[in-house]
Amino acid sequence: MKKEETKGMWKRTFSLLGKFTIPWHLYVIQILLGIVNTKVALLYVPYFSKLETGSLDNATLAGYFFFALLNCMVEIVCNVPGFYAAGMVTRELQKKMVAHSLRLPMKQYEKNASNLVSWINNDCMNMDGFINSIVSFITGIFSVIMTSASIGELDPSMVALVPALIIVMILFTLLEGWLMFLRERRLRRADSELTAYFAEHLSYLEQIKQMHSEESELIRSKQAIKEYYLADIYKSILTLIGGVTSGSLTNIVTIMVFVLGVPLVRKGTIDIAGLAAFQSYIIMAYQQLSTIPSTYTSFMYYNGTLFYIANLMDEKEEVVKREYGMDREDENIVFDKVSFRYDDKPTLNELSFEIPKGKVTAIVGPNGSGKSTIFKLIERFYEPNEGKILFGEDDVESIHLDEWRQSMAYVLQEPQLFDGSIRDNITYGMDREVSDEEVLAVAKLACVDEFVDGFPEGYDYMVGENGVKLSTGQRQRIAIARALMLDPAYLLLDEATCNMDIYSERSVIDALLKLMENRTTVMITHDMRMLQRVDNVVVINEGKVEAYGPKDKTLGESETLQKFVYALAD
Amino acid sequence: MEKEEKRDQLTFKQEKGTWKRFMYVMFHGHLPWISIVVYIIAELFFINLGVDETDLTAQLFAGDVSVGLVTKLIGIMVLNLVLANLVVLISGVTTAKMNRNMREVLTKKILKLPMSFFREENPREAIYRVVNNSTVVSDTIMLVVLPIAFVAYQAVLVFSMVFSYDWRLSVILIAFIPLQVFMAFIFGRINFSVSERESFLHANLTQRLAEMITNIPLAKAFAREDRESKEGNELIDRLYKISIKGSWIQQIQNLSETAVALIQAVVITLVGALLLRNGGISTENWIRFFMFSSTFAGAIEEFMMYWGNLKVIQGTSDRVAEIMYAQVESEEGEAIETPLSGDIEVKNISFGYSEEGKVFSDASAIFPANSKTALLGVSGSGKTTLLNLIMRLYEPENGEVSIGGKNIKDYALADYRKQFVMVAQDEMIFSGTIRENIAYGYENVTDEDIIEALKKSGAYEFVQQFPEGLDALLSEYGSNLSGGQRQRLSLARAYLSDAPYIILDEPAAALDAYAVGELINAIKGICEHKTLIVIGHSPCILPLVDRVVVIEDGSVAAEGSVDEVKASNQFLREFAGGEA
Repeated sequence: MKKEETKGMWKRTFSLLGKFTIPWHLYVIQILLGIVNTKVALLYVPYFSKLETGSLDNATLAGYFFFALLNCMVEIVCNVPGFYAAGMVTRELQKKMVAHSLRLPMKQYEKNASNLVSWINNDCMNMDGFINSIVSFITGIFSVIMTSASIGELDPSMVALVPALIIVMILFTLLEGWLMFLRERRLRRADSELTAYFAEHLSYLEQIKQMHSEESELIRSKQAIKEYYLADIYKSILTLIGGVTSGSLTNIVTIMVFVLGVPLVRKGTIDIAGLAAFQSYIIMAYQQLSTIPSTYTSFMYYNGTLFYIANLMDEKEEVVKREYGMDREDENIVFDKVSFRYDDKPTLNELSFEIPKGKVTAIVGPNGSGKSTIFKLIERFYEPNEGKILFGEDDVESIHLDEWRQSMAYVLQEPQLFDGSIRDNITYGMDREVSDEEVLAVAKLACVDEFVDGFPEGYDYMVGENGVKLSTGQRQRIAIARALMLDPAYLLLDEATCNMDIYSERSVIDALLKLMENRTTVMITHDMRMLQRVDNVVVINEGKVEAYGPKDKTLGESETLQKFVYALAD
Repeated sequence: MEKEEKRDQLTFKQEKGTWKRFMYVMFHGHLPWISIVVYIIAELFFINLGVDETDLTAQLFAGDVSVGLVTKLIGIMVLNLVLANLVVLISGVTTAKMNRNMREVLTKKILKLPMSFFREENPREAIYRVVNNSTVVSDTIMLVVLPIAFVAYQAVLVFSMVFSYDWRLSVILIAFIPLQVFMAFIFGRINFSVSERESFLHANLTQRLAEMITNIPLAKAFAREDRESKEGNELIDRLYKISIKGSWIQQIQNLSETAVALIQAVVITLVGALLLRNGGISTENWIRFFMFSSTFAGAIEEFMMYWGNLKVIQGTSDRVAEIMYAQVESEEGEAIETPLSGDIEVKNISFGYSEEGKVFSDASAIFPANSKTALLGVSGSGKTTLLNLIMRLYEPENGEVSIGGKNIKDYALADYRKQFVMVAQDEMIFSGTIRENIAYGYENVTDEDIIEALKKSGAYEFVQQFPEGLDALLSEYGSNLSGGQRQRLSLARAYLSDAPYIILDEPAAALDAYAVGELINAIKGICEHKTLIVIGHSPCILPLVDRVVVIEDGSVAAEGSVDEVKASNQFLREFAGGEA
């Protein structure tokens, strides 16, 4: 089962390679330059070894200088196609991902939303790593073969050392992997304990002081710290057992060279410079060999990190163009036995009701009853699992998606702003140039002017990421100004004024009431004045319609609505 | 007292130089001195062994393949191998001990620091960062200070060896130091200024990209996908250009490093060849010199690298130093034997979290014993701040708070805070069982007590729905509970307290209209026989109280019974207006 999963994973990652432009030619050049680089390094060795053993004749000196210079140059040039390829692959994948994410159905977007940023910003860079691990593998194999050949030229019997080296390397890699696994597991456990302690306990300093529990916190902290300390010690011991400090293997290799090589020098098979060359070759071979297992690990690693990107790219995009446009008569919006669930949790169950055109409809129900989900269905962020939403006689699914959404303004309880000026945020969604007078006019209606007048930059004030530099109430007012600006055919208000202070709420509601006149409006609200203005009510309870119709009629029928109105009036 | 302490923090940086600050941390961080000494000895021995190994290899390469020499060489190499690993072990253990000690010292200190210490920043983040930075001491000592010393020792050792063969060659070695330093300095400068700008641009772009992605629902709602996609592509193109530029800079730096090494090798070889041909030095000494020269150059390079790291680390250690240097809350004062029972009087206090922003300029209010008072005001008016002052999380700059006619400053702090139980807006629910969460901060609490508290707070119903009951595990920050459920758990926690004063901060904030009514009943049950202060932003809390205090513009605008204040105060009329 697990094996099959990984198989599917590879397939999926490889399929990613076909989905965007990859500069293959640069990778091929990279391999070729890698081979040239190894060749030059191998040619350099004999001169260096002669120097190292004391022969400084003119030919050696000339050869040494020439190859040292060449070596430097090749090494530098060698990297250039690599970083161009890396940049291009990342760029192309990022572009593809952004376009794809923008067109994902909302359900898919929400499922992945928390990770999307890091996938696009960081994980996309791993695509190059993935391809590069294959490139390095090929270059590594070539290099080892070339180096073995050079050793063979020195003395054929010494080539045998290369397979021995391979075996040792495999053993070490396995041992290291196993120890690393043990070490990481233990460390991760201790780390999460320590983090949990510090993030969850110590950072609530105010509450700790209020509950005067400093002493017991001190004891707990000591425990968590000790746990981490023991894990650290454990890590050091495992490192020692592995003997995998970087120098260790090079040292062992050198010992092997001297043990095997010195008798050959005594016999006269090779000279001292040959021994030094042998040492250099073997260390080169060791370094080249050690890249090979790491290409495998990095291949697996990148494969893992690209898994989610590959999955996401497999998701279907929203279809924008449909049968009809929105250039048509206004109609009622009708829910016809609509059921909807997020994953397995049923949220809405066979809802049927009507939102009459040109009227104000309130959706009422306890928290968590599915009110906001209804809004998202109207916006067509989601499609119903069963049933239909009709626009007059036609299924809304047959209407052009962008035009449908453009015809509505949606004001949320948690309004979304982006890092730009207040003006940019108010005019977002406008397809034409907007004059300052227009901005001022809507800002005044939504009471945005009240706090903007306090900023020296006025409407050029930058609101910060997600509008952090403003309070929720202020953000809501900007979102309302944005809706006013759009002057949409349909208005969806989800607790649009709930975070404002009393004074501004009053004026903003006045503005909204004016906007709602003769306009199809759907809202969720806890405000009595807004409710008074409502023509129709849909009462939702536990995912079902309890009652719907003109306000007075539903008030007579629905106990939930009575309770609600009573609670508000109390 | 408060003022003195603030001055301490402000002048800490000016009073002490960077090094003094660092030394302060070192000597107050309980360093494991014995481990450090053992580590130093082992490392020095290891360095000497390395020099011996090079020396013997040089003799081998000079043609001495005698059994004696080769055996000795291999022996030393094996010893070196063992020692290398041992040094890693010792350094690992030393680092672990340093981190442990440092974390303990910091935690202890933080728990006793006054809240005012964190007034400039969000204390939660500040604490988290400091604790994360607690490795800064071990990083500095083990990764920078000691390595610098070791590398310097190695360089001196090698130099003295080379000097003993031939003084002319040792002059060449020395002559290259300025060149190396110069090149490192020049390229360091270029690289720093460019990469600083590049990384700033890069961070800026990735952040914009991130925001664009998080705002996808907005783009959808306004049907602006195509335009956003175009903007995204522009951002990505710019990111690409920056990354290529960065790679070229890296490339040029590599080139410069290689160039220096190459020039050095050429000069050394040429001089060596000259001396060797003149008979100035023996072949063996040439080989030794050739080998040691690369060790020496490497040591100088490393030395400069560590030196650069030192600058980076100093900055991070400042924050830790500041914490260690700060004064803790004073625990002195009059012990409280029997629970306090007087009126809480706030007299002419002024207070601000920062120099510019005054929250209160001259505020006075009374919370009579056994009364129930609502504290009202628009958000940001200072309601929570007033409670913090009453609980002595901060101290007023002027004026005083007294209970039963005695300034609260005169009571022993721990005893004083035990007089209060608080249900905060942002409640501390941690990963652990429900039982652990309820009994947090108390001793000897039985299951019966907990169940009674859960019933009183209206939490029992949902707790029973967990198959594990009281043993049900809550996830981090209680994220598997709804806001209302977390609120009820903290009310249950408050119920177990026998403190005479109870404080509730926005108890209904997380709830809808239906749940509020039930909550109000639960609160009534819990606050019986206690003096209650409740902060609220909705009129639903009014049935809980008999008095109100309204805060406006940094002072108390009105106080008294609900009806009295309604008659005189516009805000309360507006506030309660929703009723009509």
